[in-house]
Amino acid sequence: MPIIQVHHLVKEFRRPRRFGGRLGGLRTLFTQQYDTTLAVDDVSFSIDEGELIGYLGSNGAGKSTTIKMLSGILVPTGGEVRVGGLVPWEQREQNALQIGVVFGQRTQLWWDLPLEDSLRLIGKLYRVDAARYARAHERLVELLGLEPFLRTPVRQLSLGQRMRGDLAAAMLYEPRILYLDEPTVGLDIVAKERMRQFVEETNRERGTTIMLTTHDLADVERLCKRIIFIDKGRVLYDGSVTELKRRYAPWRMLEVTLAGETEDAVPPLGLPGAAIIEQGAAKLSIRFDPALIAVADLITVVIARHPVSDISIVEPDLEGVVREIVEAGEVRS
Amino acid sequence: MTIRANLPAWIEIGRANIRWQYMYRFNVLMGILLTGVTIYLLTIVWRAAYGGQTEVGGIGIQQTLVYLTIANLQLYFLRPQVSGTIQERIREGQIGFDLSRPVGYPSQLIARAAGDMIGLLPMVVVSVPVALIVGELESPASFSAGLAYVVSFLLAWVIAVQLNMVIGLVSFWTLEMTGFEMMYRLIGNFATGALVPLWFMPDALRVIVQVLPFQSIAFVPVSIYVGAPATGAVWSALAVQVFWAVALVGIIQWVWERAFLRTVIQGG
Repeated sequence: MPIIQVHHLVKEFRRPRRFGGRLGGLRTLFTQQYDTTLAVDDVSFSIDEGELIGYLGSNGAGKSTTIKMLSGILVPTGGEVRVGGLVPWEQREQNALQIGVVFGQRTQLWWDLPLEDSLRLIGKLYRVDAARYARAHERLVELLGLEPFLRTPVRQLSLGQRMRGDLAAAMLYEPRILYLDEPTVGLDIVAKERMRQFVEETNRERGTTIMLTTHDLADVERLCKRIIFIDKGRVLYDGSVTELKRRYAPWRMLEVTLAGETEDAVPPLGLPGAAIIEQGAAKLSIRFDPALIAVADLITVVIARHPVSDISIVEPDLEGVVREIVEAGEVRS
Repeated sequence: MTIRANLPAWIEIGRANIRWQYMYRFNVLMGILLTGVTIYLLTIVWRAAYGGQTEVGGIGIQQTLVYLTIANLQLYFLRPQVSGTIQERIREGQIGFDLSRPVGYPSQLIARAAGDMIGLLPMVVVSVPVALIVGELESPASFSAGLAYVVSFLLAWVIAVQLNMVIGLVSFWTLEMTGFEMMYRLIGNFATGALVPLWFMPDALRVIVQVLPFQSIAFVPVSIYVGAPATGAVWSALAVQVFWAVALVGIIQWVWERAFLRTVIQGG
């Protein structure tokens, strides 16, 4: 039984048409004409308890809108949603108790209060009793390293510290489901890594179901087995990361650094499933399909033909794949 | 059931807001200054209006001045920030967090407003002496009038918060509402009776003001205080307030359900 079920979800935004030019503002005020945009267009998927999935798409693809409907703060135009058996926007308050939400671009903490006070307020809002609060608080303070800035007002925290505070706030009442909307946006490498570790551990050790929205494909590669890719409000792909990469880039690259420089064109390899696609002064880039030729065989041939000082295998990255999908507007089968 | 489950949350929200009041000390003091100036000006104007007579239409000048002083003094504690809060949260796109809490949004707003009011209460120490200097203060008309006044003041607070909330919830439709808010302040302020006691209003105007809820904020409690409730009976004056408090619960419920369906969270 999936914990999140989304069935033909649609969200249409209607705005009064804006007019430019003279008296444009006045026309805007009294117009009966509306511009409609389909932010989410017939989206369906389901997520099992304990999954950690990446919800991907470019800006304006409809990711945040979906998350808002799943957390019950936005009412859809059509379709059905069940989160832990509840309809989020109808049973908003019960739903709130089972979900945690982190938006990378905003904070749910109280700007003027010290972090500690914000956490206490969250504890009360989510009906966490004293003993449970003490346990969760201690665990999160340690895991996220909050101790040095617990007494600092939130507005004085750095982005990285604030994000850790936000994660603590979202996990304080130990929800079954965690929505993370671009949690690593703007963070430096160290802070990103810390964030990823926390997400991974939360999913693995607590079994929290996590839905991660991000632009940062490194997050996804590191954390998610499964991704749902949406563009212009429609699901383009729902499946494993490995499968997507296999479809798009079945080949690997063998990057060879030669021991000496050579001006002459290197003759073709003459091997099935492998080809030299680029030649630099002391460099060769060979593309090969591991299904057709074993890496070991390829390397043996290359070393026999050229004096080699270094050799490395490069996996295709998700970024290239995603760029290709967005440009094509569909996913290859 | 939900009340018991949510009570600790409401108390904590209220407590946070009590502390906030003191982060904005300047605002708190400016409010007192403004109240002092209002009372001073009203006293001058009404003295002039009486033109040296001690009584006009059966109402003594002293009673009128005490009425105006108390009305504006208590109004200082009855200016909830609810609509401003809602607008700010909507504009900043933070409303999403408020709506995603396990505690209903209107009740969060009431808890905030309660914290604000309680946070201001110690300012009595400053505002009463100011009022005493610039206006006229007297003890309540009788002991029972004093007791009834306390009840009436609390009801006035409830109604002030409720009205302010209805106005604020309109932002879910308009997103911007400075103009609307200004209109509300103008009409609302006048219709509370804090500038002109209802007994001096021409009949037609008084009837209109009496069917509006605003008089419950100033005129009803203060007329009880000075011993001159409009209908002559304290209990019927209180009944009017109770009526509005209950009616506004229904109105808020109705507006809120529709407002929620309209939610558009800015940005993100």
